[in-house]
Amino acid sequence: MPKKCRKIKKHLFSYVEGNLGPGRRAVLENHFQACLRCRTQAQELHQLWKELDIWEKKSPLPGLWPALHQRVKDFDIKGLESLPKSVDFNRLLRPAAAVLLLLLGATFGYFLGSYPQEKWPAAYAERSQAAVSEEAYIASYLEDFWDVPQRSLSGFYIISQILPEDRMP
Amino acid sequence: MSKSDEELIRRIVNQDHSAYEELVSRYETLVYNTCLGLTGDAVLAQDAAQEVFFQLYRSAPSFRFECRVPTWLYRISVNKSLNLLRRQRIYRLFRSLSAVSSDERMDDAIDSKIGTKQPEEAWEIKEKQNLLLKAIADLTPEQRIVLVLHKLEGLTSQEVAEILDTSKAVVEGRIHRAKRSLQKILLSQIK
Repeated sequence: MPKKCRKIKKHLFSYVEGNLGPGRRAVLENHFQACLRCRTQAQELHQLWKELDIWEKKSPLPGLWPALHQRVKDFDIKGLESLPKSVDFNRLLRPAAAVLLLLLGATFGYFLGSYPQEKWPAAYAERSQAAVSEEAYIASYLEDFWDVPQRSLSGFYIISQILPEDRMP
Repeated sequence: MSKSDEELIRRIVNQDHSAYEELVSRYETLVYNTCLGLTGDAVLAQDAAQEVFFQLYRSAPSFRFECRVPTWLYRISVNKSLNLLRRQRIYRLFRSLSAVSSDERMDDAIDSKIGTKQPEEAWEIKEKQNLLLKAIADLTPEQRIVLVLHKLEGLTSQEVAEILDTSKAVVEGRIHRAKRSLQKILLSQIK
């Protein structure tokens, strides 16, 4: 869209509403003579806005009063009990779902933590048996830090992280 | 001689259903059209209108006559329409309504309005009104309320301010912003 048209577009609504001063109005009307696109937009906008001004009032669909009268009669007889209990799903469901998820997570975590070692699946148990050898464990761990000398400060720190305090060299 | 709104309300408090019927028939068009403008849906507007009048019946004993009855009804209409729209949005999360059905409902609302016009003219008006209702539905609730009350219901800024319990300046600002937003939406639609 040309720059001029973009500028015109900013004032289109004021033009349609008749809120522009004579000078600016003349600028817009001159532009409309040269630009078909802006002229069409102004005309369509003008027609739509006019439609809002002459908006006809519409009668409700039939059946409003009979339904309303029945509700009112029920209300007179039963009072507040006749009203359906409104449930705000948004307010109730969200916290309920959050609490439920939290409880499920906690239960599952507790179950995993307290599961006896002898009941572990066979493959998993074998793997943990294999890792019992301390030297092998340290060696496998240190494989990731192959370029760190074991007797350096960094090496000492790494070993201190994987060995219990009483087994420290 | 027709009875005043206040007198009808006093009789409604004593469970006088004929007074209630008279008040409903006096204001059903006002309430329904406000709800229609705010919801953009004929069926939702009908539900909202029913809720508004039921609320009027329930709250009649506590009405303190500090404002006019139409002002009170406009307030209830705004609240009930927005509540229904909110509930509708939650409902759609569970069961999505097709866009077609919503369009059909809008068409139903407009059809009866233009029944007396020539077919071509009627079709054109229907198209325009559909476009406008859709554009209004795209506004923020705050902007939609002021635009419907001011433009469709023809209320002054002062009257809208009274309904919304705010100042005239605030309402005028909102009307200005609503018009700007509507302009953008309409221009993007008629491109």
